[in-house]
This record gives sequence, C-alpha cells and structure tokens, in this order.
Amino acid sequence: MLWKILIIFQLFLTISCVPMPKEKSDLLFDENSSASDFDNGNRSPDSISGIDGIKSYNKNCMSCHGVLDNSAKLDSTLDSISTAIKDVDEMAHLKVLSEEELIAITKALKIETESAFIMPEVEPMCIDEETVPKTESKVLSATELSNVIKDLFGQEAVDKVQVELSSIKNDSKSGFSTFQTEINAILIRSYFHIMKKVAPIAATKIIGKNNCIDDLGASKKDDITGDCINELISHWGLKILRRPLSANEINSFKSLFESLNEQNIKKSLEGLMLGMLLNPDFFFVFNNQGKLIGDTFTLNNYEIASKLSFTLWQTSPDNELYEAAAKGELTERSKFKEQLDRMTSDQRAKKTILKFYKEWFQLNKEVPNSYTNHFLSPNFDKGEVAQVYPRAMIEADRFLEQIVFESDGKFEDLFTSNWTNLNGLNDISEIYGTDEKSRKLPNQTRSGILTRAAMHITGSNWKHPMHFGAYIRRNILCDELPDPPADFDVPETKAGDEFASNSRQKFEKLVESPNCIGCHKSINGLAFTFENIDPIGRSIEKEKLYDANANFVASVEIDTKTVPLIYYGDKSTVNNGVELSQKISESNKAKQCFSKKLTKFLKGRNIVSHDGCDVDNIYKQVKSGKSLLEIFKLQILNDRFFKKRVNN
Amino acid sequence: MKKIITTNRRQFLTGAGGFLLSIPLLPSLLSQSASASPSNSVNRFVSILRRDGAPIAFWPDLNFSDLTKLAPTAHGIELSKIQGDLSYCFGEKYNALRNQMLILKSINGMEKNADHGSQSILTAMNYKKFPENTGSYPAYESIDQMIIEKLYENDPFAKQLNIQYSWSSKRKSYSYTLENGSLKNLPAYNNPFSVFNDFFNFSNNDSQIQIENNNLVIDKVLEHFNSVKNNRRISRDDKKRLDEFAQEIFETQKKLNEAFPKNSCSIPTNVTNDNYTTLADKIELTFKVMSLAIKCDRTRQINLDFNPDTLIGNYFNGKQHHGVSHSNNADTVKIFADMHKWHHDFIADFLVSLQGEDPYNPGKSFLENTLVFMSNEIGNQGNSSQSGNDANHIRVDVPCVLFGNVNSYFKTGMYIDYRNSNTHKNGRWYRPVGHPYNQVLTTIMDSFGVPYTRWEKNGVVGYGDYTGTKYSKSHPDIMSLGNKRDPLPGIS
Repeated sequence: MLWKILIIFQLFLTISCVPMPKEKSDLLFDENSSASDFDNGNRSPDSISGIDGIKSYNKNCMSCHGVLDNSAKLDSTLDSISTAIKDVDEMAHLKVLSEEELIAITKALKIETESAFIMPEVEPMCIDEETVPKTESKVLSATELSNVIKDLFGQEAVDKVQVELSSIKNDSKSGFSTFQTEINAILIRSYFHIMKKVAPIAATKIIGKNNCIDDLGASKKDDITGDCINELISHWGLKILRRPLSANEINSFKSLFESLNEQNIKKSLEGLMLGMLLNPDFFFVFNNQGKLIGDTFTLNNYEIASKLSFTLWQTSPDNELYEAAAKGELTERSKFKEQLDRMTSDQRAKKTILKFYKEWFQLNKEVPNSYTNHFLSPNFDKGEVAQVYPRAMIEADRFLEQIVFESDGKFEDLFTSNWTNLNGLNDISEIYGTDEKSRKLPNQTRSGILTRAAMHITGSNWKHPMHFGAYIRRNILCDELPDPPADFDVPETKAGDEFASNSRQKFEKLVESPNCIGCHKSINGLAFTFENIDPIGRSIEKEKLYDANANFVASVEIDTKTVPLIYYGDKSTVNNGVELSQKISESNKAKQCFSKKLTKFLKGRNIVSHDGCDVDNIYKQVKSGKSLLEIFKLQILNDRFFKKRVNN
Repeated sequence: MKKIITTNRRQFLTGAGGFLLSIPLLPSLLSQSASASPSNSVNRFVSILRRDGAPIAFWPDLNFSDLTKLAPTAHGIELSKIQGDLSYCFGEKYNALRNQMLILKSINGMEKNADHGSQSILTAMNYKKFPENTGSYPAYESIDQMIIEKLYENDPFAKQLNIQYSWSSKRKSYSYTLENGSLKNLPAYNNPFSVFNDFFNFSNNDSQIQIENNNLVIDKVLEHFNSVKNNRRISRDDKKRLDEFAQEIFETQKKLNEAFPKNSCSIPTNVTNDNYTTLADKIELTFKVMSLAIKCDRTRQINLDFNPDTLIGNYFNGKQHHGVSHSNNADTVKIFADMHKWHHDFIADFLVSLQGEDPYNPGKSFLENTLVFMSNEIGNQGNSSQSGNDANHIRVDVPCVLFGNVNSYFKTGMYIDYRNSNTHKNGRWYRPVGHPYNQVLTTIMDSFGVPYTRWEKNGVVGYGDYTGTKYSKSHPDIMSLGNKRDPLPGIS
C-alpha cells in the first residue's frame, strides 16, 4: 500500500514540477515589458529560431547604440556585428551570443531597408476585451491613508503622523503617486505606529460624538451596555472597513473591548479602535466578496463604492455613497453614473484628476535659487525670484484646470492652447512679457504645456536641455531610453574654452561619439527646439553664457531648428518648440502614450498584458475627440472597472 | 456546536501541513537587518558641525618626528603622550576625554568648488551651492540617513534630532534624504525648548497593564489576519503579503514591549518655558537636551549645526566669527582661537555628561557607543607661515575629531596624521597629500555596519564627489585615495 502512495506522490511531484506554458498574452509581454515592446508589435520573434531580435537588441546593444528605431547601427550586417564583437574591447562580453541570436538582432536592424515593411506609428494593444489582468489586492497609499485618517478623525490625527506617513513611499520610478505601495518591513512598521498614534484620537472622537455612551451617561467601561457597544462597533466598522460587519465580526470586536483590563472608557475605546485600524480589511482592498465566475470576481456594491471613491477622491466613500451601496444601487449602471457625476464635480475629484496631469508633466520638482543678478536682469534681481517656481506652477495648474475642467478641453489643447491666467502672478507675467490681465500668451513662442515657464525653470543660470529632451522622449512619447553610463561625467554645461559656442553646439559635440549618439539622436531633436526659452522661462533671442563661477562671458546666437524624430521614419523638421508642440498634439504616438500613462495612473501600477484593451479604449476616445474629463469618466464606466481577477 | 478555534500571536503562522511556526525563534523569519545586527548593543551617532574653518591653535603642537608610522599613509601618537593640554582650543576640559578621542589630521574635502556650506558635512558633496554640477555624479543621501537604518533596524519609529541653534537665522539641517531621486534637506529645530517639548513632553513608556492590553489587541488583530488568510477567495499572492504583514506587526509590538524605560532617564520638570536670555544659556540648554535625549533613548541620532550666532559678538568685543576667520592680524587670530575654545568647552561638557554608565550597554559608558563626530564646513584656516589665517576658505585639512569607539571599532586616544611630513606643521598644507574627507564618512558608516552596497550609487565605487577642483589643491591625483571602500588606515 505504501509503495502505491509513494508512486502516486512521485507522479504528483513530476506533474506539478513541469513548467506550465504561460498564457499566450504573457509570452508577448509581461509586467517588465517596456513601452517599446508595445510599440514594436509587428516585429515578432524570428520565425525560424524563435529568438526575439528586438528584445535581444534592447538587452545587449541599446545602452550603447540607442533605441532600435533610431539606432546608430540600423542596417548592420551579420558580418559587421560579428567583426565588431571580435575586435571592439567594449563588446567582448557579447561573444557569448549565439549565431541565431546575432541573426535575430541583424534582422531587427534590417527594418529600414525592407521597403515592403512599413512601421506603423502605433500598434493596437488589446488582446481580450473580456479578460481583466490578474492583480494583487491594492493596499492604501500614503496619500489615501492620510485622506482616510483625515476624513475619519480630522486633521489633528494626520498632523500627529506626518513623520510616519513620510516613511511610506510608493514606487519612485513610476512617477505616479497612485502607484501600489510595496509591502515591506518599513511600510508595516510605519503603518503600525501610525495606528498606535491615531487610535487615542479616534477614541476621543467617539466620546465626543452624540451617541449611546452619552445617552447612557457612562463614566466607566462597565457602564456601557452590550447594545451600545454593538452599535458603536457597527457604526465605526462600516466607516473603517468600508463594509457592514457580520455578526461574528461584531462579536469578535466586542470580546476584545470586554477583555481589555481597563475601566477608563477612552482607553478601552482606544484598544477597540486600534484593533479595527489594524484589521487587514482596512489597509488592503481585496475586492473578493462579489460574484465569482472562473477566476474573476464581479465587485459587490460596497466594493464598487470603495473603488469609485479611491479612484476619484483617494479616500474612503462618503455617507451618500455608502447609502447607495446599502440600497444596492451601484450595480445599476444609471445610478452608478449619477454617483460618478456627483463625485466628479467635487473638488476632491478635481484634485485627483489634476494630479495625474501634474505628475505626468512632472510639475512637482524642487528647484534651487542659484540665479545670478546678471542673468536675471533686466526683469528681476535675485531676491525677487525665490518663489518663482511655485508661482510658475500656479500658472501651470490654472492652465491645466482650464483645459480639463473649464473648457471641455481635448488632448490636443494640452499642447496647443496658449490660454493663461496670470492674475496676481506679476513675476510670471514679467517672464512671459505679457500683461497680467491677458488671457493669451504670445503664440509665436508659447503653445501648450511644454512651453510654459514651469517646465523650463531650473533654478540656476544653466539649462538642462538633455534632461528635457529625454523627458519628452520617455514621458510624452513613451519611448524607452537607457540611462547614461554610470561612470559618465557630464561636463560643465557652462561656457568653457569655447566661449563662442552656444549650449546646443556644446552638447551636440559632447554626444557626437558613437557610444552616445545612438540614444541622443532621439533626444537632441526634442531638446534643442526649446533653446529660445531660458532657464527661468523667458523667451530669448540670444543665449547668455557664463563661466564656471557664474561670471558672464558672452551672448551668442541660438538655433532651434531640429528633426525631432517623433516616430520611426519621421524625418520632418520643426523650427521651434511651438511647432514641436503642434506636432506632438497631432501625433498618434503621443496619444497612445497619454493612454498608457492614464491607464498606469488609474490602475496604480505598471501595465500588464491584459491592460492593453484599456489603453486602446482611451486611445480611441482621444482620437475621436472626446474631452479629457469625459475620457477620465469613461474609464470608470467601463465594464472592466467592476471586475477583478486573482492569481490562485 | 462548532468548536471555535482561536489563535494567538504566537501561533499565527500556520504551515501548509497544519504545523504552527514559532515566530520569534526562527531566524529565517527575522527581518534581514535584524539578522545582520552584530550585537544587541544600542549604538548612537552624533555629528557636530562647526563653521568658518579651524585656526592653527586647533591642532596639537607636534613635530613629524613625534609620530610613529601606523600604516603607509598614516603616522600617529597616543594622546596620553602629549604634554600639557592637547591644544589651545582643546583645553583643560578635554584632558579627561583623551582616551575617548581620535584626532585626524590632513583630511581633505574633494567636493567640486568646495567652500562654505554645510551640505558637504555628511554627504561629501557640494551640490547645494552648485546644483548644476550634480549631473556629473549621483545624488547621495547623507550618511546619518543610512546609519539610522542600522541604529533602528529600519524602524520608522526612529526619531532623528536635527538642531541648528542660531537665533538670527532659521536654516535647515545638513541631513539629506533622497525622494524620487532628488535630495531633500530636512528641517531643523532652532530652539532647545521646542526640542524638549517634542522629545519629552509626553507620557513615559507604556505601563505593564497597557502592555498587556496592547497584547490583547494584537492577539485579536492576528486572529483577524488568520481569518482573512483562510478565506478561500484570497489569492496566493495576497496570503503571502498577509503573512508578512502579520509577522511584522507581531515583531513590532514585541519590540515595544521590550522597550521598558531605563534607570538612566530622569526627565527634569523644570524646562517649562523659553527662559534663556543669553547665547551661552541657549547653547548650554541645547547640549543638556541632547544629552538627555540620548540617555532617555528618545533618539539615537543627532546632528547639531553649531553655527556661530551673531550674538557671539557679545562675548568677543563685538567681533564676529566669520570676520575674524579671514584675518591675518595677530589679535584677531587669537580671538578666532578663543571663539573656538569657547565653543569647544560646551562640547566638552556634553561629552563629559555622556561618561555615566549606559544601562542600554551594560558595563560601558554612554559615550563609548555614541560616536560623536566633530567637523567643520571649511578646512584649516592657518596660513603656511603659521602667522595668521588664510583669506580663502577651502576644504584642505578639514578638522575631523571623533569621540567614542562604537563597539571598539575605533582605537581612540590617538592623533593620526595622514601626511608623510609636516613641512608647514599646523598651517595649511598646500600639497594635500592625505586622505579624502569622503573616506572619513565611509569609515563612520562602516563602523555602524552600513555596507558599501548601501552607500554606493549606480555602480560608482565610493561615496560622494571626488572631483576636487577648488584651486586645484585637492586634486585626486595627489591624494591617497586607495580603495574607496576601505576604512581609513590606522583607526583600528
């Protein structure tokens, strides 16, 4: 008998240890896949060897030769690659690549010469409209936690835990504050200490309320009746765990309250509240109580309420939403839409939606004030510009608010509108050379967000054109760019020996080597179109040069004409940032990039394979001319919003 | 009738086969930092920043022939062998501290364009003054931020104390964190009364009954975790995260239970208002509160910007600290030395206050496990002829004095000179052979067990900026850089 069991067990082990093939979609791209993976959909793995030459190029060649689309080595032959690996010391480590892999890379580099092949600007990403991705359950981010604590217990409670909240960090590379917080020891300890500090304040709030404790005139724990404690647990249980508690749960919390060796009401309530606040259903959002079909849950009313509230307000539901959930209204699409409209018109939703744009455009940096008076002249002196960046951000905020909320603006307006509101911002109007009351910026030099002062203020006399170019390439066009080599020493951006050279000429020279130009070919054309905007955001006709000690050296001519290479095969030129902004507004690639970014923001994580349909939906809505606000709301009305699939 | 199974915090983690895992006893379940902790000792790190460079009278009056070779680039002498006071600035009060003291000579700041500025003290970078330079090397958070992770085993409950006491300006601290790749300058207290309020004006640690009640709460919390985890609708990934969450909550509560108040902490009740009237009063209270914060374990990491206030003129015939630091006049050079001595005496009182027995480290004094790092934003101000102060502020021969030994990592009671001769004796050394200031910082991190993998960024070996372009006097080619990961020679 025993040997039979052993054989069956052995068989079980054998079966369970054989790697199971992944789903087709997982093979195409996984969580680590890059933006360029999505864009290069047509260039599939080599049909003979099965090796993906694009991935192989990205892994082995991109850091030196640049993004494939703009690679310095397009059209290389197998021989030339093999010879380079043999002869070039820096490539010696690539000797491990097989011939099949080199052939696949060569094929990937061949695309330009194959006349029959036309590289599309964007590729559809949707695989299966019915299937949502498998995801881990969400945990509250620092912002959400802060908002929830404030809503439940007041600003005083948030103030007490500022230090601990600052320990909770989201994925810094994502750029979006909605991103999933990584669960690690620091996060959990922070969370623990936050709740330890919040619980006493929570207890005070309960005592202060007009509730059964007051009615009973209770002065010690034993004075509180069983019914009263049940009432308190039900009330606060709903608020904290965002759903009604079961009878068992109420009994469990009640037993905790009774077991505490404490007669002081406040202290006892403090223990009870700590028990609730440390409950996993407070910090995690599981969304697994609804109908389960296969591996997909359909969210129930309370889960929908939470998801809607966290998506729009970054906090837990308000009373009205709970009431709608209690009546079962949120699974009725028309009632749900009523709530969506109500909540979208609230300031909290406005704040969340604007946050997406501010984070996408990276309008949240810290800048120093290292300008010199010579640079600032004739408009300012050093003492006047300490607040110039925060005030330029106000102008950018007003612009975004106008486009998204006030004017029913569309994607194109973000890059083409020259609307402004400079009321009370006399220094920013000075920068633009415009009257404070004017609602239009000069259209020869300003067009949309990329030309606003807030995007160009560096806090010192020197610009960082490469940073700006790389920002556009990565964030507005969603192309993948490797970081510069770790040991690369960026020389001074200021004038050195070549006093007559403008910064464009210096940078171009700096990156002309084969090791740099691969990537910089796709950065330079975006970077230098904005050379007519100086590091405090003014329009300039000549560039002021300074030496390493910030002493003025000379004024030199500037050149803003470039080939921005928006997408592969695009050889057109632009004369300045206004033309580039126009081009971006028309670009399908930028529209798809926006769609990816919005999907990431709403999901709070990187895109995985089954998110492709969400990206495509947004892209179609942008293309069809829907307003930015409507697009945001449509994502929440999508059937996929109400589903969750788990990894079991 | 259903049998109700309750699980307490000691039984929470249930294995697949129904085995109960004993949480606190399994090393594999301990956090990485806890496992890596070399001992149970409580360590602390205090840095004290001084300004405007150091006068000649800062240094012991030694000839190179007085020193013994300790390593190829290090010569030294035991401080006990120095006759009389250590130096004019380290006067009588330091005699009782000699065996806990380590003076490092010829340490050179290598930051690009190094000059005034507190930012380099704990970062070896000068990015704040010249932010446009930061593109050439990674941004480094200050060493205290990494050390504090060790001091508190990554516990966010850690409380750091940053102070700058000047009445005339409200500067931020010289402690920097990294947020989304950007450096953030942390705020600082500028008033000891506020420090006292924030660090002491709350109830003492939990009573025994409170601890028992807390344990009841945590038992209930873990019961709820268990219940959620056993729900068949919970995904595999979520179960894993719930396990992690529950274990950490349990461990954190356990630590809190163990943190009973020690006898050393006797909180005074007479610090009731902002009643100091002179600069000296304020300084004295600042150091008292710092000492108290250490003894009561309210913090294990302090940074004090001992910034000369404009009120210092009241004590020195109207002279200001920065003004005299540039002077070549013998009288004002003497005043500069007197000002240093005046400040040093306050520091000595603080150090002496830490010589009592440390209940957190039985058998040792507080000072032994509290590394006090005293440094300066600028280097040696003494000119080569030793007749006055140099007009330039540069980071050549930066004063670096350490107190305490951090579990015997540092061999204290020593003066170590990193030159191979002392042609200019205590004046400014124009060929800056010696070791980089960066290495002092990496040595300090090493002493607290911070590995180089934590401090290095983007695969660049070392910590901070080594470009050293100011006046071409601390160029890397003529410095003893050695292996940038190695600690300073001669310190152990």
